[in-house]
Amino acid sequence: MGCEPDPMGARPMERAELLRHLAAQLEWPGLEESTALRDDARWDSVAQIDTLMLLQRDVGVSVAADDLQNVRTVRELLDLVDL
Amino acid sequence: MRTASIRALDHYLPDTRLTNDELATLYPGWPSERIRSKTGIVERRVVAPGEFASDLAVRAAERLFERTGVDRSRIDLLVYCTQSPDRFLPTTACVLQERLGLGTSVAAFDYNLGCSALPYGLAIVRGLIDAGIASTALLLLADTYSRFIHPLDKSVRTLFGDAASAVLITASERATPALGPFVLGTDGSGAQSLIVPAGGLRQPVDAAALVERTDLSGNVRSDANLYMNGPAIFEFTARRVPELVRSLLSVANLSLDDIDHVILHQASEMLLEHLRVTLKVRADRFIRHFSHCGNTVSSTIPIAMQHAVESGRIQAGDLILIAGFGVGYSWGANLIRWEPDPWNAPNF
Repeated sequence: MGCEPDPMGARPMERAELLRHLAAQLEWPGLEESTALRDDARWDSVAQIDTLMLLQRDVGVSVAADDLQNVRTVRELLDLVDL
Repeated sequence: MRTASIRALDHYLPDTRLTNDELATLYPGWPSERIRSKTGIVERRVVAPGEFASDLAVRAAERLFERTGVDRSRIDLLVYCTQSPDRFLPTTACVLQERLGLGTSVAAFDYNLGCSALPYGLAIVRGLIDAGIASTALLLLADTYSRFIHPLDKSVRTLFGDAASAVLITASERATPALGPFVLGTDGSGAQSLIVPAGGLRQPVDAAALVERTDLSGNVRSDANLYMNGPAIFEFTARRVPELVRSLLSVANLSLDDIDHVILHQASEMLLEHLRVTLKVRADRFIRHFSHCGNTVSSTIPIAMQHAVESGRIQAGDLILIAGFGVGYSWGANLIRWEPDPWNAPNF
């Protein structure tokens, strides 16, 4: 459950910076904390895998797939990694 | 010591091509280039109506026989791995014995695994050869996941292709084993993450199983279709595969620097690159070969390995690390010292 520090590590990242990385990785212009994910077709399995990889690579945390699939908004996603 | 070694590999892809351009017409928001960049796949091959996994296996075996000139009467072990069997019974390997014209003294059986098929198959065959129970083994791996995939489920149809591969393994006298050590593992808690729920005895294909549903991403499937929880598979792989590789290297008392080539199950470009970076494998030692066949499940490693051998990338004496992982969850890894005996060796 939740997120665990990845043994590979990564540099600390601010919440706003992670949001910018997410928007770029997901090719999702205008992505904001209030953006709803759950009912958006763009939040598909590829986008979720992209997000898991980004969090592991850039933030150094491994998030459980179940937790990621339960988030409803970008805000809840950022909260998952405790930023 | 008497031990098993790989003599030859071959494979067969069905003729029908399924390109990204064709898929892009079905999936709004997924243009051809996006499919390629995310999966690393340009096209995949799929069986035609009336063509089944065992048919692909026969073609792969016949190619191997033709290319190597092996006397098929010498084969005394036939091991067949598939998740697309012709029928519940009889065992497909028994049918293949007859179709391939093998002798009746051959031991033949099936096993059911997906992406971990090759390490498990090599472990089984090495065990039987090293124990003196078999001398010349034909390991066949074939899958036709396209039979399970709903045409409108982009989450799996963009990835998987159909294929068969054949590996000839024989007994030989060597100072050290050519296959192994092996590390194998299982975690059935992941069974629901990659599954065809209906079609067996527990959940037969009835009217209820054929009811189609559309998920939030627009993918359509029924319980008779393949379902993959991509994020869960990624989580499993990202956690398990680095552990698997480190465990194998530890058992072998080697470091990654001692390995000439790493061939992981060719799942997708996103996953392979993530694993390569995590494991810190040099790009020139990391073999990829799936862009024109897709993720062929049990055959991805043999196909990539054959291509690397034939292109001269793998040379005699090279040490190869292979690792397969996926449906089950099941995983396995082993080392291969690539020292195939010549086809005309006296004991062949």
